[in-house]
Amino acid sequence: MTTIAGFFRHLFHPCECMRTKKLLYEFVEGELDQQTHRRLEQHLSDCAGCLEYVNSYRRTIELTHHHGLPEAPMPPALKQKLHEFIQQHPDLK
Amino acid sequence: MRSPMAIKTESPVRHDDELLVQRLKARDRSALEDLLRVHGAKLYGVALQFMRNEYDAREAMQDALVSVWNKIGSFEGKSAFTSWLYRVTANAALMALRKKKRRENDVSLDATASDDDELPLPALRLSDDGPLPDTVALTDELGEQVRAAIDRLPEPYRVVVLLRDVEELPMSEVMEVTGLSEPALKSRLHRARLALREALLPYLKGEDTQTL
Repeated sequence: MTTIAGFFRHLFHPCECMRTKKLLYEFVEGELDQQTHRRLEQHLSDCAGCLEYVNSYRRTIELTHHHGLPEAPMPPALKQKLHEFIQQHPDLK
Repeated sequence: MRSPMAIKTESPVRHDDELLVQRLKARDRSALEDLLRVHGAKLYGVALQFMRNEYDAREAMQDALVSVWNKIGSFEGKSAFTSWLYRVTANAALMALRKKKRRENDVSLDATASDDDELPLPALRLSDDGPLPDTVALTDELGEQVRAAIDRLPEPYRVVVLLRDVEELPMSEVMEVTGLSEPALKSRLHRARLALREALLPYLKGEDTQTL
């Protein structure tokens, strides 16, 4: 959660905050050069708003990966159709 | 750098999968039946998430079975068989999606490849309209919300999220199957993630994101 102090820091470092948002993808994917990466990390340690933003972006990727696929069992009719397909399709010989 | 949760820790080939691969390579057609029995639900999940309905998912699964049959010789066991299988299914689903689009004479998946960065983010905002998949297992509310959010992304964005963040295909493979350039793919993926983040914000706020 954004603290009051974090909110004010956000106001006082608008350029760094904008920079963080601009480089978010590269930062999370580890594509930044060491110096830029460190500078961003330094800003994150000082800005609760940006830290929360970055963390929520990372968490979104994790959730997408973890829950992205429906865990639905195959309907029986589909199983039957695929069984027939395997038995009859000329390419599966 | 991928997030820790996104790293798969499977051994390259599980013992029962090893046998399945051997039988497929020996052209044992009953191995396809066993493949469906063991991995069918997961493959159906992949196909359903791309195709959004059972009928089209079936077409994608049939194409995937043919691909598995034809390409099993190229599987060397360096990666997990399940990963290879999901990749083949995702590819088949994407191709089926394209065929369907061509039939419907709709926009190309690559239509906005060059000018992604110029689109305003609000255009990606998730809405409540639009069909949901026929079958979505409601194992938990968060999982349901994540899948619903992905499903409501405009198709070009949904496809890159499924390929990259759900299936974890390498960027080079996603570029190959989507025909997108690297900058266009990164831009599209980033914007899709931002839209998903926005949609999931009420759930994210309930978590302690500081500890991530």
